[in-house]
Amino acid sequence: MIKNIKLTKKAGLYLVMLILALIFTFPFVIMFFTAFKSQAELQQPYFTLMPKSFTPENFIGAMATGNWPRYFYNSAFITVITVILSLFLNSMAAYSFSRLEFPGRNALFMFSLIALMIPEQVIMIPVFLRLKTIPFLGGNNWLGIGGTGLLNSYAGLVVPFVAHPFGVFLCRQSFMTFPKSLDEAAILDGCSRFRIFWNMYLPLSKPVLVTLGLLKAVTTWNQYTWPLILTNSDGMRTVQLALSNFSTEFTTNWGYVMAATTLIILPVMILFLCLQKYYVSGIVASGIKG
Amino acid sequence: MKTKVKRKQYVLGYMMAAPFYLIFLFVYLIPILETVWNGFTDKKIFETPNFIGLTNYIRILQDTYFIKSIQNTLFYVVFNLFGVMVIGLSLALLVNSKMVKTGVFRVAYFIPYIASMVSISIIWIWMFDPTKGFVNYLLGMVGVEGKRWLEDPKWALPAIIVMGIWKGVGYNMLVNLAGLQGVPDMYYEAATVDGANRWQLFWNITFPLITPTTFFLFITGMINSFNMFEQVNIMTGGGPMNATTTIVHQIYTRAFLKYQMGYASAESVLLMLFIGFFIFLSFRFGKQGNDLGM
Repeated sequence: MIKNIKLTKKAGLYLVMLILALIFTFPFVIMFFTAFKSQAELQQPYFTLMPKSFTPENFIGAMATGNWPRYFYNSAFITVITVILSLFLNSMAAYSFSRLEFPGRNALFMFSLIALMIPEQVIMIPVFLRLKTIPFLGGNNWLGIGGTGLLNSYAGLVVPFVAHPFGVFLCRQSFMTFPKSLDEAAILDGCSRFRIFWNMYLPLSKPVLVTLGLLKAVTTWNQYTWPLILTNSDGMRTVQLALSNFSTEFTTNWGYVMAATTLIILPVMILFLCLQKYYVSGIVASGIKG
Repeated sequence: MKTKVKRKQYVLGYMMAAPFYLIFLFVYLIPILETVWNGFTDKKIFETPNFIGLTNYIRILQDTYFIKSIQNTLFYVVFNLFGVMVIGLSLALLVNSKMVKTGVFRVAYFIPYIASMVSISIIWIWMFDPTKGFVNYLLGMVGVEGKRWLEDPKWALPAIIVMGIWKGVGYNMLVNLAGLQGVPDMYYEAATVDGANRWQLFWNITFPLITPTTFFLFITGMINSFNMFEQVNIMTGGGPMNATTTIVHQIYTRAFLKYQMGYASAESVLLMLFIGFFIFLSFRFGKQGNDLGM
């Protein structure tokens, strides 16, 4: 009798969770199936879920509209460079803030944390103007006038995102757990501080670095507002930007739009599903810091 | 000898922190000050700016678009925040159940959070499509007449809020789940022995212990909702009839479509003050139990 009640309860729980899972995943299912529908089928003035027959023509057609290989290359390049640079800069600063003694160390670190409260939307105007008037670059003279500075450049898309205090915070947390005697022993053996950081601290913090890199990769790939503001040439477009333009230019051709959306979501999904554990621990850490 | 070693460490310390710190100053701190300064000028993009005092702020007070955008933003903040927090906590309680396996379900609920706002917005434009969309199809099945969601001033913002909640609850669920798992089992066992029912367990044990998590989600969620922009720019462009324009959408329009940098900076300052004010209120009234130990 008790066993029966437990069983019904279990089944009920599964049913509720299943319905919820449908709510959260069904829009992706619709996206996926729409991408495989034929043009004729997309003209029908009512909703259907499954395509009558799966055709790849939307994927081929969508990728041939505009310079999609270039957009994918741009996004991938920016993502990789941002991840590498931010991991390097943030972990190096974290080592300095956790293991090296210098005046004002803790104050400087604490002060940098205020950036966690600053939304990028509030500072996008001055950052844009600064990058535009950077001297000597992009046709600018020494006063930063005459050219376009770092607008429409990879550097302009990367630099504002490589120094986020959250990365320093997380690395510092990890570095602090290592015993100080580790450094002392290495120094006695004639190892330089930088080599201690590079050859010991970094390899030992692999999980944290993977977590940080993954979070950074997903946000960079998904970024929309900053590339929208900073770039206007077709050659500098990222996939997100191209997708948003695509949907306004081709409002009637939902097959193409959904095919492009599928291709853009895919890399992030694969990355997330493979490295789920790391991603989740990063999200949880972001919650604990409060 | 000792001081020399120490001095060497000073230099190395500064050198290793410098690349991060200089960029940080350049992209976070100095821009804040510049925003405040630019707000007092008529800065455009090429012309040299003039100091014009409070003129921008006086004009903003009469700017019906901006006032509308404040109303829309507040509406969005209230409903989106309430939705993601309540549903996020409920989902966390659900998947924290020890009776059933929940791993796959957690992933499913979290998936929308991973995808970019651009792709999500586009999928939902398709879902909200008046004739071919799934939303109206579903409503038709239960006999409710569909709407032209994104073209109707009354429904566009609520439609965007529904999408925002759908995208954001996964994050809230995960953070809450971590909070729930930090509550020691023995508290529940002790209370169950004393005859507490499930509601009492939640209200007297779980809820007080996860308050710091809730407070964190409230603050960050509020900041994010106040800065809502991407979905509006993609789905409605602020329309129909400005029914969905938000503060950041106004800032974007002024600064990057009309190149009124000074005016938009003044709007940014107001946005900062708004956010700061609400954070202040939250700490003021949320601190009674000294939740964060801050």
